Amino acid sequence: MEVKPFGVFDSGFGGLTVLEELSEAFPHERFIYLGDTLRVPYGNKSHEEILTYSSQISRWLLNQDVKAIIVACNTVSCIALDELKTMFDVPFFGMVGAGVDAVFDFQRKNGRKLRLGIIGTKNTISSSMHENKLRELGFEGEIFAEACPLFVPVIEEGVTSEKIWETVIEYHLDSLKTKAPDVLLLACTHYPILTEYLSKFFGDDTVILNPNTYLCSNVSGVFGQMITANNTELGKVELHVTGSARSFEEFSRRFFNFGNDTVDVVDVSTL
Amino acid sequence: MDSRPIGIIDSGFGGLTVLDEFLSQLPHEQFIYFGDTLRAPYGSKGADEIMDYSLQLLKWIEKKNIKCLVIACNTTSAIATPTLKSVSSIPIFGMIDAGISTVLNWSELTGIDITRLGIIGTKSTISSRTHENRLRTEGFTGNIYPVITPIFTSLLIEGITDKTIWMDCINYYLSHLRDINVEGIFLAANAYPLITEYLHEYFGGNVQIFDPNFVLAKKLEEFLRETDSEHEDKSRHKKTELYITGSYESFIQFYKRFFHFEYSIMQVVSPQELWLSHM
Repeated sequence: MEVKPFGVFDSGFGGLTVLEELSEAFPHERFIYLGDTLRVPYGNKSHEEILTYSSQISRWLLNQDVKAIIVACNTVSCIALDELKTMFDVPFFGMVGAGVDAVFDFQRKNGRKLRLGIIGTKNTISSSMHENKLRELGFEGEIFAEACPLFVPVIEEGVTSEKIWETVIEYHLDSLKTKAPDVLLLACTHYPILTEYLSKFFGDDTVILNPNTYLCSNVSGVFGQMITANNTELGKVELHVTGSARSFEEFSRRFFNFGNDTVDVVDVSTL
Repeated sequence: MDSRPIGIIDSGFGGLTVLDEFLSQLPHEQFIYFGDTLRAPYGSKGADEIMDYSLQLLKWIEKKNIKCLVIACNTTSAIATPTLKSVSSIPIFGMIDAGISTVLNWSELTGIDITRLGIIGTKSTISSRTHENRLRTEGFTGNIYPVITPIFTSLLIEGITDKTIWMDCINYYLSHLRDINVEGIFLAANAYPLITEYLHEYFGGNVQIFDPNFVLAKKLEEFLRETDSEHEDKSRHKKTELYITGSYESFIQFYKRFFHFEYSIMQVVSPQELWLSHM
């Protein structure tokens, strides 16, 4: 029997950080990734636009016969996930649940009230989705949420200069830094690429929390065992984009190692 | 006399600086602006994609019964102008000619030769070397220093005007131009006129900032006069129409942040409609 693939999508490159962890955790699975690089960034688009785009992409993935869809984008997870779940008949996994799990797990290990920073796009932060979910589940610490609208476009532009990143990070996060958070939740799948710069900016007393591992745990809760030990074998990956294949290949090669850098272009007018 | 509108196409938001200049220099004319904001920026896309997109834009705007067309985007002008001219019977104006004249006219007028000129723009524009080659063809003999400034457009689209971040970014990308004492900076991206003030502050008042928009408006005015195709009605406040392919909210946010001109229509065009007009 042929094993059906997982569908993974994001507004652009960012979901590749999720895809990387998924392919490490599930080396015997197949993943079909779609990055909507033509219409990136979603962070400041209207709710209606985001719902339209993400349902188009979900339908496209279902036409590829996927068994589940991983929404590797916090903005879409905040704004459209509930509606996508009612529209389509496959399991959906989103980033908000994973982020909330990550926070509670950290709190359990530390055993005290946390000062929590949350960073994401304008849409993610103004939806207050992470905050609301955390409160619903009894989180009692302080929460400081901050939108960082420049991070996604600057990552997508391929800027790697440390000096520029210091400037951009300081511009968005200077006031959050003065709150001295114990932990900083990366509520955007692009941001793990910035982990090093963020650690340096916040210093040793702030732990950077990446929800991707928890996303993998959620998937394994439904689809069985994930591999957590050092694993050199990777799941098979297919990459599709709506924008330029060349810049996506360059990006994928620069930051990741999927063993397959060939990128296929999907015509957005056929979605 | 010809009272049909003038078409302007751009990859996104930046061309509004061109429209803004036109509205102040040619207040009797009517303008239709089309910004492909959904697929912007073109700066990091491939030449074949840019060619496809700009042909779609041309076909769409030709249906608006325009008397002439301005390509308000340096990347598109650099890559697609000859092709667009060859498939259309409408007179077409691009950014490159106007930009080159801006530099050469200034030298002619002031009698000062530019011996060190910086050119700043997107990856596609700068790596196409179009401006550099054209300047040489037209006899420019000074040294040319092209610089790709990828983050400038992102900052402007996000509406960021904070001086600290701009000065840091300008310093990061352009400090070597200041070190060698360039005499002029050529703005080869259409949104950059919005940061002229910061560039002046960084480089000092003696460095000339070359913004092609003024000369482009003059060229257009001259063309309309010479071909006797000015708008018949000499009253101001014609109905400016703005069409975009991407988010309405982001566009209006950008417009409000930087502009004051009035418009009568702001409408989102679906990619399907754009695709159909290409058939």
